[in-house]
Amino acid sequence: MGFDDAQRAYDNCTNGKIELHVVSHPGIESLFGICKDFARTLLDNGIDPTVIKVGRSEIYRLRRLTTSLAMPFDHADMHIKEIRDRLGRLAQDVNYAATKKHLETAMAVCDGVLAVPSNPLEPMLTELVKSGAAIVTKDQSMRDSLTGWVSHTYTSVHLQVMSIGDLRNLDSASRLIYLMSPTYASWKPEVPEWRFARDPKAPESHFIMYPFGEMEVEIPGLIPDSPPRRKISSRVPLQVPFFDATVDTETEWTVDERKAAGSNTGELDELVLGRYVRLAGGFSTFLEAGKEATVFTVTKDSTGKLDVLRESVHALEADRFVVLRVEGTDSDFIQEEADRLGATPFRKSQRRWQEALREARRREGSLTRMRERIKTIHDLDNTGLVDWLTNPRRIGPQSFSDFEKLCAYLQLTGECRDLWEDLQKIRGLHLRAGAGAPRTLRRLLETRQWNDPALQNPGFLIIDRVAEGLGKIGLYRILQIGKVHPVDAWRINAIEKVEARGTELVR
Amino acid sequence: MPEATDSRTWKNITVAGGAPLPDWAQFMLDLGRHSGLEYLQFPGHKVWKLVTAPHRGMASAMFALGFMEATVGLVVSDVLNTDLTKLKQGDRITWRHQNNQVECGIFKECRADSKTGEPILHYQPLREARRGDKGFAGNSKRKPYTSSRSLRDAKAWQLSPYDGEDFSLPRPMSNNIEFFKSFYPTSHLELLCNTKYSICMVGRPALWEDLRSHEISISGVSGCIDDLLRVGGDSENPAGDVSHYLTKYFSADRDVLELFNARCCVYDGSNSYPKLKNYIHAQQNLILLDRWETGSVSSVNAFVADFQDAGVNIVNSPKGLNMPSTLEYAEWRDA
Repeated sequence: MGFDDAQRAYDNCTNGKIELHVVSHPGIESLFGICKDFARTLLDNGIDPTVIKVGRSEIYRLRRLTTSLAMPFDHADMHIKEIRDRLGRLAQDVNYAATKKHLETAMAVCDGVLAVPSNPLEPMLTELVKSGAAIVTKDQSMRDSLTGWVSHTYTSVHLQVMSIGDLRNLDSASRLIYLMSPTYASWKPEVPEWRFARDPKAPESHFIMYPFGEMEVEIPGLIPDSPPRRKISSRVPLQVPFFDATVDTETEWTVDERKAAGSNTGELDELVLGRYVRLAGGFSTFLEAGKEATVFTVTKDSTGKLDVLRESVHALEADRFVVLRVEGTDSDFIQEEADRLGATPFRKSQRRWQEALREARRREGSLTRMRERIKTIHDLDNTGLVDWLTNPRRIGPQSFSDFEKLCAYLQLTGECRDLWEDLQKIRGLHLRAGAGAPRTLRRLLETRQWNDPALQNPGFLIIDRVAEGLGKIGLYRILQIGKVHPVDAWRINAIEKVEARGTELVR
Repeated sequence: MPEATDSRTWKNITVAGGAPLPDWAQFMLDLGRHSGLEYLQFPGHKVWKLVTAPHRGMASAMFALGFMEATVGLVVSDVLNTDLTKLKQGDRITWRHQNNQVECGIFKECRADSKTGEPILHYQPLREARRGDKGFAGNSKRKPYTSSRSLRDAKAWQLSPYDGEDFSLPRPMSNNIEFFKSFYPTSHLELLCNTKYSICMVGRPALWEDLRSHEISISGVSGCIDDLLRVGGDSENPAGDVSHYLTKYFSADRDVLELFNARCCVYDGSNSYPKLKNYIHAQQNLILLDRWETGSVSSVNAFVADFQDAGVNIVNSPKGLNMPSTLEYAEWRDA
């Protein structure tokens, strides 16, 4: 019932309790200080930032895993031995000489926790688990690590494991058990995210944490300058933790992402900016990263069938299902549909100014000089320049006055009006195609239901419409949205298999 | 702007089963009523209201219901003022049929009666026109007939312009006529037999679940909010099996390419604002955001930035209403 479902959320907002459970482990606690000092010491000794980054990632990885996973320290998913070996190698490296003591202390922490494999988070977790509860991890790679261990350890209790990002899809739980402090749960590089405390999804929220966090936190509302919605305070003394915007946003998947982005890349000016997306089933892809880039996703409609939406790539979140062409004529549905509607004859005008732009790039010899000339002489905003240069899908500037300036720079003034008219036709056909494509896709997907078992596990399915000339369509659950990397244009929307040593193209 | 007031007695709306509405639902209903009164009493003032909630379920539907309750007199007036003599040959029309049904037909012409001078409307039921298309069907040897009604009779049988899909068989006026009558005790026939979009609802597909779930009760008769708001879908979300609507629905995902005018627009969710705000023009506007949704923060920021640029002050509590502590509120008015 609509009122009942909503009322639970309002009740939790009004009456939801938040409790902090502080556990102690001097070795693990010392990692906070080491993390804080490590980079500063190396910087003071003039070490190159790229070298610092490698060592810093390992130490922060150790802190992240030991403070956020309740499983035994010798468990394979904790990677303690692997990290200890890497730290050992770094301690021998002359670049890290100034932080040898930091590295040795961190190695001693590894040895200490491996010698006594019981994890101080585990007994507290065992005390708090109850049927219908959900255990919350900081990120999805931790969720996946913890899921198997929880199902083996707590066999008689029905539990869910989810990341803090997954919480938005949770209707409610009997109890939420966070393996982190509220400060860490809220931490984001830009602005703290307090929704889990502002509107708890359970009557009780428990935080199992080391003594690091804010002693007193006021939870802000969403509307600027509105009064605080709630206050959380600790009776146990806490130290304010140190977070690093670069390293604290890393997860175990970051390693996969780096490997994927680093393979098969050429010169920078031949590349397109693509957002790395990790998909279910051990797949990944790069989605176009421009601010206007969109992708098709599926969701559940009111009758339980699959509904197709067009979403902005930058608004995508984990656990959405993305629609990708696995096999067929073009990975871009809109472009293909626009061509079918009659855009093909006008594409030559699109290619004309793009080729002239690339020619101008070669003539200028430098992207910076090109930018300066476009900005100062022709008074044209050049924020989209790299995208225009590298992305053959771009139709061009949105306004005629901007296009006129671009043509003046490209010495195409005589053709400007004709080119613009063709581009407008392409744009109009793209709009029509954009409006019609969801219907086309919906027809393709109509035989499948939202509760199709394949969509739950393994989290992807392929619909074969090769016989009808429509190729193969894949629906993939998004596991993680990664960063933007320069990649070859052909890798956009292409499905790649994530391998231990990198990625392999599937189609 | 002073506070909008009214001495009318509002309907006692309860949860189906008779329990009082939760405080947040009552607030949203009252906010809708209050917005309706503002619309009536201060025409021309564009108002934006922003509510954040821990859960979006039912909230925007309750607001729209309150607005409709306050302003339904205008809808009835629009219906009564429709000039049927302006209909053109070939226009689609509907009229009330017996047994609470409406029938669809084709307008032929309006001629003055030779004796009385009174306008007479001539039209043909669609099923008759289609018989004509196919020739003499079955055993029937009769010719397809054309109907005539005086203007007064046509009004009495709620003859009205119709711009939906053609239908040959008479359709029910409502899926829950008793419930509709309990909310609109006067002029319910006019409202059931005319499409006069008053409110625009923009939102997620799940909004339909709120609208079509049997949740509320009025004077012991229960039903769903769609029975009262009569929400017509767009091509992505088809409407129910009635033919006339009072509220227009747009999917937040829709690529809107034309402007739409409404008295009130309800944006249910972060995707709908600011994407659609330039296409939907309404005097009273509500944005409802779920505080859990990732897009809500950027939507609030876009909203605040819009009005900061215009130098408009934010009001943080609605005049004359007690706001539950679970909700957040902000309001901007165009100067």
